[in-house]
Amino acid sequence: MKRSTLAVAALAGAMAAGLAFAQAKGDAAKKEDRQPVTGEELRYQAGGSPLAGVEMHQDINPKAPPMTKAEFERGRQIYFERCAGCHGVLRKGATGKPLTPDITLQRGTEILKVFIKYGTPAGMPNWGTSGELNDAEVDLMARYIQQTPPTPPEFGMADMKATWKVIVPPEKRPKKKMNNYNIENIFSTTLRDTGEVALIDGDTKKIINIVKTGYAVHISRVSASGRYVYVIGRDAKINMIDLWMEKPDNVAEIRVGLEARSVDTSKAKGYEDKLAIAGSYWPPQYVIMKGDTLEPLKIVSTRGVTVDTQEFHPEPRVASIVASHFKPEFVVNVKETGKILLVNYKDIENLTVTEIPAARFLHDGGWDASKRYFLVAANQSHKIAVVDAKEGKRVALVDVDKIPHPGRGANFVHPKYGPVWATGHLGSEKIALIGTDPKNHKQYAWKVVQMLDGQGGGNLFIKTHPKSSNLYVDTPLNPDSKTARSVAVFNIKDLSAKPKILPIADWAGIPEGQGRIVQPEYNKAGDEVWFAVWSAKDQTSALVVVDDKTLKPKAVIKDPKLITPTGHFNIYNTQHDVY
Amino acid sequence: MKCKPAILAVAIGAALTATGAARADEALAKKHNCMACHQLDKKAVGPAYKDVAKKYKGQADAVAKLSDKVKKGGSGVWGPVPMPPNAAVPDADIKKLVEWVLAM
Repeated sequence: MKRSTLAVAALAGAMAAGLAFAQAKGDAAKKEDRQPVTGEELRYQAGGSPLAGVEMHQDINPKAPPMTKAEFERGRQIYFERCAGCHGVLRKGATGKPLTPDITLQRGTEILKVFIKYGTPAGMPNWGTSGELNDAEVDLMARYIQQTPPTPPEFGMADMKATWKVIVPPEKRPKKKMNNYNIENIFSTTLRDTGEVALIDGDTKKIINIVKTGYAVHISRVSASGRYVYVIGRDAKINMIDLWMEKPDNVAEIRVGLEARSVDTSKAKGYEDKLAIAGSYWPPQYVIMKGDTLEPLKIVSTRGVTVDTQEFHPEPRVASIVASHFKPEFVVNVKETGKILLVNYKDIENLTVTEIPAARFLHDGGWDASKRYFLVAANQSHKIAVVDAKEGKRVALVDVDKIPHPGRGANFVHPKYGPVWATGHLGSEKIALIGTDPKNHKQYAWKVVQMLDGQGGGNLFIKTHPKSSNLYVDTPLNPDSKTARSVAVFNIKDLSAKPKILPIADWAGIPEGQGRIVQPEYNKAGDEVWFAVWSAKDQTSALVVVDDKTLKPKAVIKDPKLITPTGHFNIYNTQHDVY
Repeated sequence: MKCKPAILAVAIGAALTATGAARADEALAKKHNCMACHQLDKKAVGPAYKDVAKKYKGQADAVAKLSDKVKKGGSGVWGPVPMPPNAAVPDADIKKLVEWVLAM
């Protein structure tokens, strides 16, 4: 009895501190103190969730203000389109504050309406005055969040098996490569809004095939052998593409949940192409599958206790996954608990998982050049966690700038500080360089050795190549169209010099106000860099290939089928984690 | 000379009571959701209480005027964000809270 009262009091207390933001005094309150969210972050976090279309269970809370069934459905839809990214599926809070009925009922409709319409300096966007929601919708949402949050259905083995399809079974697949493509230089390009990936020949710049996939493919990953490409959509659908086929296409598919972001495959010696793993946002879990058919073998829930306050969290989403090249391990990064899981797949029946404490809320990351250390962003803590995958422990938590977003980061040798790994930020123009060589540059290891000034916030990806001395930084989510349409290039040999600005969208002939430049990606040779010019669905998009030596455009790829290209992955560089 | 400690004790006692009362009123403000939007000395969603006190300083009808605003809501004085109505808060509590704010 006493315990539950305490818990409620603590939750209510945290909420009060949160809503009144810098209410200031105690340490607990200070932790809640945040700067306003920027437009960049908003565009990033408030992307729609596929859960908007999923039927959910809901019980009517008698204390909540009345709503019709239709109103509730509309509120639910808006919630998953606008709010769930920050406040969570179950409204337990993540980037945004918790919005459970114990808190919202106490506030009441009138106060909630003010927050929703006008926003708060603590980071809540002004949905009403920005014109995104009208007054009736603001009122609807104020009432909606006082109802008990509906819970989306679970997605277990039977659900996965029901969606699992082996289109071409392994025994019917080619025994050798049946095409003349230089498959190591193929690019797998996400066509976000059409639910496809384009496979593009890096040598001829011609489209090989447009493959049907899930919606808004988040990433492409390549098997250890380089033969298979695994892609995962936001709707948690995985497609497995065989590059040996005469015309590379899907050979297997499965849905692993209702919303997901991450997939990878086993890369350790003796396990090449044997297993695949995918992590989902909902339900909060990961699943290990057979590498050649995607047959689901084992599902593991990530629900559990947070790293700092050690409270139970009902929806810790799997943010990103990478595969170790040396050990039979997947590195699974769990957002809301702030924990890094080293999942050893040697014996998946008796699974060994090493749980490494990091910080909330984990997002994405990549290996250092030696591939011994994994660096991952805890983006609301403004930190990078460093894990020694060899020893299986955390070696550092490095403070960086506001909301780091490394993608996989960029590795290069700094003229003064030796090997470094770099990350950009969603929340600022800074690029942080972190020393990664504890052996020969011990004094710089796991420290920010230099901060560079890029064009602005809204950075998603940063890239260089072992053969290049250029460091490319995109800014697709920057509110200034000119900044979003161009890319900054730093000279690694002289990082004190200002970056060169490449007007990529202009080169592609995309009209002003349209097109955002996303994700620099090298070809296999490391002498070309590919960029997506991402325009709206009904506008022209393009891919632009830049000569890494001259920084001049080398090719512009345009095709009516290239609709909303975003991320793109070179097969060789993805297979070997060259970044 | 001899009475000094006594005076001191009284002074401390008064100070303690004053802080105690302020704390009680702040707790009341928290209870009625005021602190969700207001802070004592910093502008938040709503104006800082110290700024409210400054604006209405010396106005005889301030308590009545502000009590009415708290009860029915208001807008336009401090920018576009309106003060929502607080019909559920007892009149006695509103009066206590307004007096507490104006005394800052």
